[in-house]
Amino acid sequence: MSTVSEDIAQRDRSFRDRVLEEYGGLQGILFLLPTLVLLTGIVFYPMVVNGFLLSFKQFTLNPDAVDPWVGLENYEYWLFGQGQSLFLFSLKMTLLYELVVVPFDLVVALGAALVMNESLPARPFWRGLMLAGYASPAIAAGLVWGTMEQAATYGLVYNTLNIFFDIPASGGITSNTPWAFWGVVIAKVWRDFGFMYVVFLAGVQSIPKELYEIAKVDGAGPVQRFRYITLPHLRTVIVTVVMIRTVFTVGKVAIPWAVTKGGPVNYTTFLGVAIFKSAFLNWSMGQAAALGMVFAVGIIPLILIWVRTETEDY
Amino acid sequence: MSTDTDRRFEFETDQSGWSWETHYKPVLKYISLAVLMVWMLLPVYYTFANSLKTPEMIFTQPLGIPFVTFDPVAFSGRNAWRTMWDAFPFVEYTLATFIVSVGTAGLATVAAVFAAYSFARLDYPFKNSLFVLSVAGFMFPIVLLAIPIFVLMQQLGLLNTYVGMILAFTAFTLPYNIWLLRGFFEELPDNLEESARVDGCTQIGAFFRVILPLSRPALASVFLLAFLLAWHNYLMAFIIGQDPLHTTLAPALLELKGTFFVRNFHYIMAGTFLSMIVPITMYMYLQKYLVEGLSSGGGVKG
Repeated sequence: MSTVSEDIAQRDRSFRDRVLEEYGGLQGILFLLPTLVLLTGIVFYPMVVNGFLLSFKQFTLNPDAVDPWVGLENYEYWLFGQGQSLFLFSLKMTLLYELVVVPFDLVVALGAALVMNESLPARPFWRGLMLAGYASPAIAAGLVWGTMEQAATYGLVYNTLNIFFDIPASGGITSNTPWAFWGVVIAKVWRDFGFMYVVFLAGVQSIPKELYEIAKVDGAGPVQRFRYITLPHLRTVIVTVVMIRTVFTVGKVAIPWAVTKGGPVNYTTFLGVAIFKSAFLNWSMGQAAALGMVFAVGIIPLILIWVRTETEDY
Repeated sequence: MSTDTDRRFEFETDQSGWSWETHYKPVLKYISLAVLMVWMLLPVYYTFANSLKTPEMIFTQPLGIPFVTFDPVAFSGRNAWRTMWDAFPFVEYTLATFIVSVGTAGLATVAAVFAAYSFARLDYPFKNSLFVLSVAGFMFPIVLLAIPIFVLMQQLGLLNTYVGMILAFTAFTLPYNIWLLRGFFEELPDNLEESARVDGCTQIGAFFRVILPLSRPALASVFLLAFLLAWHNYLMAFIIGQDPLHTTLAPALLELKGTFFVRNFHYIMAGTFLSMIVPITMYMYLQKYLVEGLSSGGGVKG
C-alpha cells in the first residue's frame, strides 16, 4: 500500500516539476484563456455550427422547430437559380464600388495628411476636425448625406450637382440609377477616409525633415520632392491600408443602407447589403448564409495575405 | 545648357518673382485647408443648424444660421429637441448605447491585454496559429458574423438584452484590440520583465506591477476605440436589438427616419446630431491617444 501511494506521490511530484519546467508555455495559454473562451463562444462556434451548417438548411423563424436540411439548394439558388442575376449584378457593383471608393479615399486622405503636416495656426484643432467624419456613426453620416442628396430646397448636394448635371427631380440623387451609386460613394468617403488620413499623417511625420532640405539644395521641386521622398516612404503603409480598406469596404452595410436602402431596385445592393437584405428582410437565413459562405471564400485569400504581412516579422 | 544653379532658379521662382516656398505653397495650403474643412464640417453644421429650425425654415433656408434666422413665435411650439425628448425615448437610447459601449470596451480590453501580452512576450506552442485565429475575426466582414451570431443569441435567449449586445460587439472589437495591443507590447523594451524578475517578481507579478502601469495610455486608447466601434455599430445592434426599446442609437435613428419623415426631419436631424456629437467630442479631446493607437500598433509601422 505504502509503495503505491509513494508511487503516486512520486508521479505527482514529477508532474509538478514538468509543469514548472514548462511554466512559461502554460502561462502563455493561461493569459490567452479569456480570449479563447470568448472567441470560441461568439465567433468560432457560431461560424461553424450556425453559419456553415445553416447554409445547407432551410431556416425557419421558430427557434424550437428543427430547420430541415436542403443540401446544396441554397448555393444553387445564388449560383444557378433565381438569385443568380442579383448575385452577378451585386458582384459587379461591389467591384465597381471598391474600385471607386478605395482610390478616392486614398487621394483625399493623402492630400489631407500633406496639408495637415504643414505649419498652420491652431494645427491640432484642424487635425482634430478632420476626423469629424470618421468619428460620426456610419448611420448618421448616411442619413445626413442622404438628406442632402434629396431633390428639395434643403437638398444641398442635389442642388449643387444639378447645376452641372441633369439629375431627374423625381427621387433626386438617391433614387436614380447612375446617381445613387455616387451618392453612396460621397457619404462613404466622407465617413471613412479618416482612418487612412490618421495613418498617413503619422507616416508623413516620421519622414526626416533633413531629406527635404537636402533635396531642395539639390534643386528638386515640390512635385519631385513628393515623388522621390514622400511616396517611397509611405509605400508600405499605403499597401497595408489599401488592403485593410478593401476588405473592410465589402462587408459594410450601414452607409449604403442609410443612404439608398440598397435601391433604386437593387442598384446599390452590394454583396454585404445583399446578405443583410436576404437574412433580415426576407428572413431566408439559409440562403443568406450560403451567400455569406461564397463571399467568405472570395475574401479569405485577402485576409491571408494581410495576416502573412502581419506575422512575417516573427 | 543651363547649369545646376540655373535649374534650381527655374524651379524656385518664375518670371513674376513668385516662388513656390513664399507664395504658391501658402496660398495652396490655405485653399486646401478651407476646402477640406467645408467638406468635412458641412454635414455636421447642416445637422446641427436644421435640428434647431422648424420644417418651414428648413425648406426656405436650409443653410441659415439658426440663431440669426430665428423665429421665436414659430419656434416656441415646435422645438425639435424638446419634442424629440417627449415623443421619442432618446435618453433611454443614449443610456443604452452608453452601457453597451462601456461594457463592450471593458470586456474587450481586459481580455485583449492578456492575450496581446502573451502573443508579444511569451512563448508557447502554436502561438502563431492562435494569433492568426484570434485576429482574423477583425478582418472578417461583420455581415458574415451577423447571421451566426443572431442564431446563437436566439438559441441562448439573449436577443434584446444588453448582455447579448455586449457579447456580439465583443466578437469584432476583441480581435482589433488584440492586434493593436500586441503592436504596443512588442515595442516595450525587452529587459523590463527581466529586471523585475531579478528583483524577485514572478512573470505574472512582473506583468501586473511593471507592464500594466506602463501601458496605461495604450489601454486608454484601445478602450476608447472599442467604445467608439460599439457606439458606431449599426448591424449587430440592429439584429440583436430587434425590439426598438432595447437597441442603440444607430438603429434607433433609422427607426426614427421611418417614423417621422419629410415634413418632420428636424427630429431626425436632432437625433443624428446627438449621435454624432458624443464621439466627435471624444475624438477632439483624445485625438493624440487615438492617433497613437491607430498608427503605432496598427500594423502600419512601415
